[in-house]
Amino acid sequence: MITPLQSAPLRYSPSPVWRPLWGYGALLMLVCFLALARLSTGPWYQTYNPLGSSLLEGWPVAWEVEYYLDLIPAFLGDSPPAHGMGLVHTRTFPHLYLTSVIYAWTGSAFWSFVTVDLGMWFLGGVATYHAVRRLDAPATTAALAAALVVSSPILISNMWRHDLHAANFSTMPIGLWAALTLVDEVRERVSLAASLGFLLFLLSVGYQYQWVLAPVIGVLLALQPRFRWVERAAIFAGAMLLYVCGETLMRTLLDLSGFGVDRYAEVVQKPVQLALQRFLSVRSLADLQQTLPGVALVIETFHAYHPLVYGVALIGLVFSSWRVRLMALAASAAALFSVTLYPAPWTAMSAFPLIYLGAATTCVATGRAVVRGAQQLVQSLGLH
Amino acid sequence: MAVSVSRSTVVDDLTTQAKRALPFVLVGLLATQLRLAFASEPEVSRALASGLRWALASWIAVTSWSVLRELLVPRGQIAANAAAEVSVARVIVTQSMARERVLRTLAAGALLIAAALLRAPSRLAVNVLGFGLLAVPLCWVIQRRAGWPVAVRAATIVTVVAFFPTHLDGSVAPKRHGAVPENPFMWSVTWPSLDWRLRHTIPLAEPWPARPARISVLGASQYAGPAAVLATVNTQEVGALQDWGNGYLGIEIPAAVARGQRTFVIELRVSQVDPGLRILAQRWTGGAAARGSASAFFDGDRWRTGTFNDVLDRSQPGIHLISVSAS
Repeated sequence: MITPLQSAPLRYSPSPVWRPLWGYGALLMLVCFLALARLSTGPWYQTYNPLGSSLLEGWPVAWEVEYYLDLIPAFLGDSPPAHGMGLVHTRTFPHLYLTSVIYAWTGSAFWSFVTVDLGMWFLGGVATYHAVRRLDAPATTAALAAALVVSSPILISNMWRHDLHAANFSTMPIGLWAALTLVDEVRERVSLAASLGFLLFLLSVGYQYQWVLAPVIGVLLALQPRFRWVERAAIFAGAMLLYVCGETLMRTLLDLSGFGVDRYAEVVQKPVQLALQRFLSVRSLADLQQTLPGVALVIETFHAYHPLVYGVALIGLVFSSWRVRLMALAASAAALFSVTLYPAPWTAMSAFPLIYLGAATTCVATGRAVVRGAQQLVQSLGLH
Repeated sequence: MAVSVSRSTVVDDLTTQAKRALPFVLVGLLATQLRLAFASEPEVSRALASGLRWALASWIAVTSWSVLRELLVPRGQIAANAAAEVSVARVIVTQSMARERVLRTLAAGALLIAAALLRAPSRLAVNVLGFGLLAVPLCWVIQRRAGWPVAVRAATIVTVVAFFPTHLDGSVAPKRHGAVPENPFMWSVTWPSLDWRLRHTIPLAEPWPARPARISVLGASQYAGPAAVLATVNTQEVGALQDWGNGYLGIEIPAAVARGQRTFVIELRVSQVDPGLRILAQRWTGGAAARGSASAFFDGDRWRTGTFNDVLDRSQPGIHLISVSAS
């Protein structure tokens, strides 16, 4: 028999259901506006690659969509696999699965890609908002950071390409929010290690942000006072071990299911493999210097965000909490190291949710200072 | 403790469920009827499949909306609502039971997908894996915000969404295709007369170094006819474009011609008129250094900016897909 611990002291009151909808609605509208603007004008941040231009169901797509179109029958067809799955596929596995399922329902490959890309782009913004709120920032800063993330070149420039990059890149803020939530809320050590391990595995199949978020998780655990240092280290090690096991199991399952050989196997190289190759080739101090990120890569990172945005972000991060500063430092270090292995603007921007948090902090602080200054001016002039 | 359920309770429960399902069944029947009435080749089996799809889709839409509504209620409000109606202990028991139901639903979903796809083991493996990778995080996120009872609904939605396609056999991959005359994004152009010219201007950020330049033109399709495309670069004849494969036509400009140039003005004409010889054009101009004014055509009378769609017999703003790269 269940004994009531508490009778009903509170009266039910209609909840403000529609209030949060305005914020999410505004974010969704911003995403759709940016997407449609880009569809109308074409690429904003890249020169066109003629080979990349083609049509899918009458709509423009990038050449890279070919990787994924080939794999749709793997999810929907009964025939034995005609193509294997390389890292280029496994790093977007859930998105590709969802795209295939939506294609089965709607019959339109193009709009299935659009749905997944747009949906994940929007969720990336929502996740940024909630991650920033978890970092004790005011709602205005969180909203601005979310707006900056959804309007960032890393997301916009990949919309309508349909190589699922918009969906991939949004896994960084989603993963950041999930890591913050797990470290803050999961009390039991084993559960926390298991959850973080599963999160890292999910990030590895959502893109490859597990390597950027792993040091961030390390920082979060290090700053978590409810565990002893040995426990923190054990949780981190356990999470990494689980991630490696998950990835190995998935690869084995795919190999056993006939998805082993892939004609696009070399399109995307494994980050660990690249890092090992680089370190094993070190023979002298000069080699080591070349392996480590130099000033040129820092400048490249500045340009990837835009020097003004990055400068504003740095100011904001300096005035943020220690937790935010250390997280941004860890993510930026991981991003910088990634650029040494794979020099591309989107790799340089791997720490983007935290960088945009810094930019939003500066903007909000500046806005408040301006308003305060204006109010003081009005008061000193005796105006009402 | 043995629980006895009276017959009338079961009947009431079934009646309630049937009433809830009725609107979706009606949507399905309507879709079936419309398909039979308007399809060019009406088939009962296809019409029924369409009806089932619409019935399920409408159920998914309505249930998703109810989940979304629950997600938008702040957590404190849920706790207050729950406390107002039932005791905290009851809430805990309800949550615990709902959590088990989520796990059972997901397990049932995985089993259903596996059973349906036993005929194709590789498809089975990737579908069960994909289902797990989608459903587990989704249910975790939803239960955090709205509680396990709402996550049960989400788990059911994901199961239905993932299970439905298992009866299909989509072994043919969707294909990309080239230009379509009436497409607003990409079309192809040709040379309707011998004096017709296509021009593409590429301004350079700095003078071209002392090395050859490769001019690439993206053809609309593989061409094996008698006509050739003749090129001039900055008014200097450079010869006929070669077939470079992968749909490309191109020519290498000697270093002596290219060196020091700040702009490449490429003009193309044909040795004989052949509507089968076509190159691609697109509406997006952002990738061209000279943007919207990069491409032009000479119609025998005067130069006009943009491209000419001969199939639709009109000029269209856009660019020819012509680029220059270092050899």
